[in-house]
Amino acid sequence: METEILNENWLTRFAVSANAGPADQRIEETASTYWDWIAARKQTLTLKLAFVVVDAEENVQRAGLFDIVRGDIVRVQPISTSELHAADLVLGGTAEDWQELSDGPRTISQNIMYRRLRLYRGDLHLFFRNIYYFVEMVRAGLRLYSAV
Amino acid sequence: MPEELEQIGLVDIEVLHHQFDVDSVIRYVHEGIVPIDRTYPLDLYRKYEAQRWNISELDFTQDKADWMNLTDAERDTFLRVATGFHHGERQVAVDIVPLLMAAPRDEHKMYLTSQLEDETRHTLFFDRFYREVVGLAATDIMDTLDQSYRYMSETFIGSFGYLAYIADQIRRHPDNRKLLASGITNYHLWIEGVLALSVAKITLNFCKSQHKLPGFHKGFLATTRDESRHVVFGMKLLKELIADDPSLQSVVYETVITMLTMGSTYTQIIDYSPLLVERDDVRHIMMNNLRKKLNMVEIPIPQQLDKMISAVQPETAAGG
Repeated sequence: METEILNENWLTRFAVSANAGPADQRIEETASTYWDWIAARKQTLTLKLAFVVVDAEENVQRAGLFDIVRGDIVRVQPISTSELHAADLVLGGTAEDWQELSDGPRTISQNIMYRRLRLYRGDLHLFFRNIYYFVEMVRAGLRLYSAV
Repeated sequence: MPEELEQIGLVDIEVLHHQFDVDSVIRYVHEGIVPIDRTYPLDLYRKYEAQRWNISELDFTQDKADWMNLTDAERDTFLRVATGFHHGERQVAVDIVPLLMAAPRDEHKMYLTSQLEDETRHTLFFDRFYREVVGLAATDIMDTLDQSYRYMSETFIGSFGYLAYIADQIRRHPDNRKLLASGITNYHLWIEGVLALSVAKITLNFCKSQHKLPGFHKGFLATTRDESRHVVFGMKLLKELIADDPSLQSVVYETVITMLTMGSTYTQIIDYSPLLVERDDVRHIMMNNLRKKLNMVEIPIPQQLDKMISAVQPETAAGG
């Protein structure tokens, strides 16, 4: 995954997988109230979300932008560092962090709690008032690449 | 102060374990050490010196036997409730340092070093319980946490993830009082003042009423007394910050609204009945704890927030 992350193909495949929603097994093993909560939050979620890969000094190496309308990703594009200002939220980590998010051994939920996915810019309340949407979006989006 | 509450602050953990219960200690949080003035950080530091205990004082021999004799349902519910506290202690232990650096006065920073040591000791207390009593064969602290993670509702990551992220922002902007006020609201008011006290009440009442897990009861009741210092410090600091800048009151509300938004759902429902408590009882305990904390900060509860409080889900409860 490391060589292709955040290029146009990666972003497109991530969006298709995220928009398809969670895996059947994930839905079955999780309380319905959780999915109801996410469905309600999605209706309020229209924003631009950027993913970034950073180096050890937190310099952005690569970036991709998602246009999200009512919780669905409608457009993706790789962007340059100078275009990051367009994003409402900038999330990401090092290549090693992305590898851990994708392959584990810990789950997406655990890894977000351990800050393996950092919020580099944006409103913390906006992010956390929709936190389970973002958790499941990343989980579903990385499904194609994921070992966990 | 009533004599009983005064005694709670003075006795060693052996006497605390035998002569007091969690309800008395929670009363001590809300009433026992409130009337202290601007010197509160060092007053609380001196209480820390007097109340400090050692994990090595605990004997889990009887706990091991009791654990084998619990029913499967009792063990399962106990782990689902207690595991959040274990993970919570780890989270606050590793993320308190940015708050310490951002605290306004040296007295605050000195006090917070004692809280850091408390949180470390609490994490190690739970680690020892999970290895020696529950029987997890772990290679290190993180391995214990990884093995017990399956018992938690994943919505746990809301409150504790927020702490990880706000601590990171405070680290980057240590002079930003809005970030500090939000961090203290998340940590001291919500995690310690609401979630932790709720978990303590459920598990400790079970141990005391059933005469089971005495080592856990002794260590966790002492932990709850430690939390009383943390909660009082946090509520006093919030009052101090708001007195200096009244606009920070809205930061407290916004942070509590975020906590309640995240706390209105869960991934795994918990059946609390094996621990002799019902879901609505737990919800009621949490609602009461939140209202008491806002009263301690001496700020009113807005209508929007009041409506949200009643929607909080018991599975949110965990500790730190």
